[in-house]
Amino acid sequence: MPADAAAPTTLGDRLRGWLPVIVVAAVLGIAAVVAIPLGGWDEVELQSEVLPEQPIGQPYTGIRLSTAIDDIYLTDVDPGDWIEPEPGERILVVVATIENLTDEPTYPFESGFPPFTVPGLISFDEEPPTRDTSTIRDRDGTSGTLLNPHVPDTFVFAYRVPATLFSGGETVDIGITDAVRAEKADLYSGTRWVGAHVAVEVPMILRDEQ
Amino acid sequence: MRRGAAFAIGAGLVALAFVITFTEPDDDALEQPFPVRGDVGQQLVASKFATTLTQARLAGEVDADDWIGTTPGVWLVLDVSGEATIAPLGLDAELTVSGVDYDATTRYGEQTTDSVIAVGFPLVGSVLIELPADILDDAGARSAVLRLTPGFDARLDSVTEVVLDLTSLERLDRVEVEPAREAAP
Repeated sequence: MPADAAAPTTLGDRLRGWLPVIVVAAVLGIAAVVAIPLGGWDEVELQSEVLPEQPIGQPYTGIRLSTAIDDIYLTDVDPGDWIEPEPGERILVVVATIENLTDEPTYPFESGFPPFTVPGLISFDEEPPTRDTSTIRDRDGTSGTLLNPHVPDTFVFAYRVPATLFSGGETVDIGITDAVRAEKADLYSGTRWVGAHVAVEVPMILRDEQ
Repeated sequence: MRRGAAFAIGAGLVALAFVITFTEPDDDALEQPFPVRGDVGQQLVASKFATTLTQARLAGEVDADDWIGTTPGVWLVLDVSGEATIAPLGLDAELTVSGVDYDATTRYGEQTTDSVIAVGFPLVGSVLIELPADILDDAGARSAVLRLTPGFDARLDSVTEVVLDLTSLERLDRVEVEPAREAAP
C-alpha cells in the first residue's frame, strides 16, 4: 500500500465539506419560515412610503395651502364653459376648497407646484396645457384664481382628457401636495418652494355624470 | 504717545466696522420703493402718477350689476381715482396688515387697477380687496397700509400710501360699485 494513499473518509468529513452549503440552506429555510406567514419578502411595503389617507372634503393643512378635495366626476360639459371636449375626449372635474396659508397672495396652480395631483393627468413634472383646462370659482363662476391669505374658497377645476383615461366607478387617488419654503427667495416677490411632494392621498370614486 | 494714538485709531476703525456691519440695510431695504403718504381725500402725487382715495368701507357683498361678489371673508371697497403724469400706466393695489399682503381681486375686471390710465385722462372707479373674515381682530387692522404702485414691480419706484384704520370704517351688508371710467381732467 503506498504511503500517500488517501485514508478512507468518514461521514463527518464529507459533511464538513458541505458545511457552507448547509449553513446557507438553513438560513434561507429559517427566513422562509418567518417571511411566508408575513406575506413574503416582496409584499412588505415600507411604512415610510405609505401615504396617509385624507377623508373626502376634509382639509389637509400644509405649509402653503390648506386643501380639501370635495368631489371628482366625469362629464361632457365644462362647468366653466371655457373648454369643449373633442370627439374621443371627456371632461374630468375636480372640486377643491383651498385656503392660502402664507402671508402673500397666491395663485394655487401658478406658484411653483400644483396643489393636488391626479394619476395620469397632473404631476409635479407635467400639467395639462392651459388650453385643455378651465378653472372657476364655485360661488360665482368667475375665472380669477387669486387667493388672498386666509380667505378660503371652492374652485372647480376642469380638464379635457382622453375618454379612455378614466372611467366612472374607478377609484382615483388624488394626492394633496406640500413643500418647504426656501430660506431665501430668488425672486423680487413671491416664494421659492423646495421639496414638493404628495403629503396625503384622497381615494375618490369617480362619478360619471353622462 | 504715537503708539497710543495708533491703538486708539485701530480700535476706532474696528468699532466703526462693527457699526457698519450691524446697521447695513438688508437686501429688501435696498429695493424699497419711495412712498408718498397722505390721508383719505388727499391727492398724493408720486413721480409718475397721482392718486386720490376718496372713500373706504367694508362690505359683506359687492353689487356690480352683472356680478354679485359674495365672499367667505369681507370686502374692503375703495373709491380710487388715478392719473398718469408722464406716460400711460396701469396701477396696482396692495393692502398690508401686520406684514400680510392682500391684492385687489381678480374676480371683477373693471376696477381702477384694471385699465391702462392715459396721461391727462384720470380714471375714477373702485378697488376691491378680499380680506379674512376676522381681519378686524388683527392688531394691525388699525394701521393697515394701502399702497398704489405703477405696475407690479415697484422696486425703487415712487408709490402712494394711505394708512387706514379698518376698525373705524363703515361696515355695510352690500355696496354697489360701477365700472371705472374716465373723469374730466
